[in-house]
Amino acid sequence: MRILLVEDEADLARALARTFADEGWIVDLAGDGDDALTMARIGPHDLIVLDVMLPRLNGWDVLETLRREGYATPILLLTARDLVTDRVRGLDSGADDYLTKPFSPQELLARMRALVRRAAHQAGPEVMVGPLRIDTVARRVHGPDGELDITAREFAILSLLVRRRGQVVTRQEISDALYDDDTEVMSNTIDVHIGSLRRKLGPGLIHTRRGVGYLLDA
Amino acid sequence: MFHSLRARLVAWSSALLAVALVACGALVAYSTWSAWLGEVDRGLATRMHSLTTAIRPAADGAFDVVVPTDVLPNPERDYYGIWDGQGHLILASHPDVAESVPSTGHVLRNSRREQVTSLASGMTVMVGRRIDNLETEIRRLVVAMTGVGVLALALVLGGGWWMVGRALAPIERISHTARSMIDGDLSARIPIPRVESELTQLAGVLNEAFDRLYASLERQRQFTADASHDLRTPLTILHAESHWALARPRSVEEYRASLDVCQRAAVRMQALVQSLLDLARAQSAGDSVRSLCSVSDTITAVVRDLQPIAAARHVTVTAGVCDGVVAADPISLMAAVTNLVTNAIQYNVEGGTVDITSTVADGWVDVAVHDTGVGLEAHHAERVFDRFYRVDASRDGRTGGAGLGLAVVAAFARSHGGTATATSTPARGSTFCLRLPAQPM
Repeated sequence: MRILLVEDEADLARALARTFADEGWIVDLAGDGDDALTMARIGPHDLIVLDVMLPRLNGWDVLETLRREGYATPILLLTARDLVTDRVRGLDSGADDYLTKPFSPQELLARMRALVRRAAHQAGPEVMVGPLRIDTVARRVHGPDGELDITAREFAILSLLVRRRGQVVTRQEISDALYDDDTEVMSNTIDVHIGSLRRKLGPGLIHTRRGVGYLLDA
Repeated sequence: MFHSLRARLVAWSSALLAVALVACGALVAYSTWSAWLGEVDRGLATRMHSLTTAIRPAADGAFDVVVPTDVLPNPERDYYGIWDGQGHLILASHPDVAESVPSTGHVLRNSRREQVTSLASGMTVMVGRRIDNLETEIRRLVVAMTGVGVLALALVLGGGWWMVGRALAPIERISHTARSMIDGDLSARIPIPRVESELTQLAGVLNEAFDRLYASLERQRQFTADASHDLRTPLTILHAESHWALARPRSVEEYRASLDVCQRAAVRMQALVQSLLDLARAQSAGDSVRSLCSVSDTITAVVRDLQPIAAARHVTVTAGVCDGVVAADPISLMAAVTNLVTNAIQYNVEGGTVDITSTVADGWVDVAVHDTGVGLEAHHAERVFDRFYRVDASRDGRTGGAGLGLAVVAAFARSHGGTATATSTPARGSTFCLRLPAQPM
């Protein structure tokens, strides 16, 4: 999962980015509104965490500009203002959720998971795929014979395929969800992870669309 | 209140008009009636003269009369009667004339006007005229005047109701606006009609008062929002950083970096709380905490305290002293001067200078702090004393203070009867001046 975090407080941005990384998420960091717009347009992200008070272009403007351009990715607003009018304005401007500082990091993570789940039309945190039960909060996969031993990278690929279930996911999309822009990705790295995941999950779940990408279908 | 005022105004003006109309009508009716009656009386007098001169007394009480025609110019209405000395009716023009002798003088009864005269011979002569037609006329006049009066009254009632309503409409708008302000819409203003009146002036004055009130509430709200923002952000950092550090075992370097972040957040909160306390103290420093303070002693102490910070930034601080004394809260005075000098050091260029001068003139002590820093645009210089105002719009902690330092100076100056001003040339430097009333030595 790839998150765009827009926060101008360096200490807070670093702490949140590390917390997201612990969840196995890739974080792009923007320090002001202009950067946020540029990075969001390049994309792709599964979620934007957007601070309202930013230098240059504030969070409201970023939010309204993106929504005007038809940008549909969930956006969670972070703000130190807790007036009802601000919350209403945020949600009515196209934000999907709103969290007031100070907040507990656990709550932020839970809300982020919920937003991503909702965007993927998942009913709950547990997803059934064929014989598998996938817990997206605990990041565990249970097969018919008990829990499967799956690495963080493999889980990231699996959860992306689950979110886009029945649709083809390109190798580039998988690479974007797994690595930040600074990491050099070998051309066969994705294939290696997919092969390993296929072995662990069993046959008939992950299908290859040659020259396009992969697709999860039970 | 408004409706009864409208009703009272209209009721009073209508009542006054009604009284005036009745008085006028009565006067007109009375004078018309008097004029008509006078004319009738003049006719009666002429006829009486004709009749009496026509009576020729004969011997032994008899008399002889040939009634001239002008005694009865209108036989349908006019009549006469003659009685002898014994009171017997001896001649009457009409069968209705009573047998008994009437008393002399002018009489008005039963729609008749009569003049009765006693002659020297003992005879009594009466001439009369039926005036029921005049009574009908005067009645018609009264009815017509009453009709016109009622119409005029109705016009005044209706028109007055409408006009007073229009005139008082601004009051309703004022109360409507005040009501919506009570309900929380502080941006509501009274619409001012184009036609000038006392009430539009009142509406203007009230709108101005609302504007000031709104601006002051807005400043207060902004202050609270800014203060809470500046407290919430480091709290969030503490929360996020400690959560990350505790989520799983980390390396010593990672723990060290985390604690460093937490400490920075704590220092920020402490600085903000200190500034808020300074601000509160500077605003409310009453007489009880004020004492005579030497300005030069304060400046010297501040310069000594800030020397390490200035040295770290390679800024030279020079101070010129004077013998000015002010009555001030010493802690707030210290905080104000410290903030001015800190500001001058912080926004200075590396290797720059801060020059502090103090002068006493015309009952004022002026402390001027001149720096060789980046300076301020004019629109920033105006607002730099506002609470939480920062030249750089991003509200982070990178530039140091919370944006309250100069606000403390301004609050201190205000509460001590002085002023705080800033003049600046961009790229050349700024001069901040604190002016306080001097105490005579």
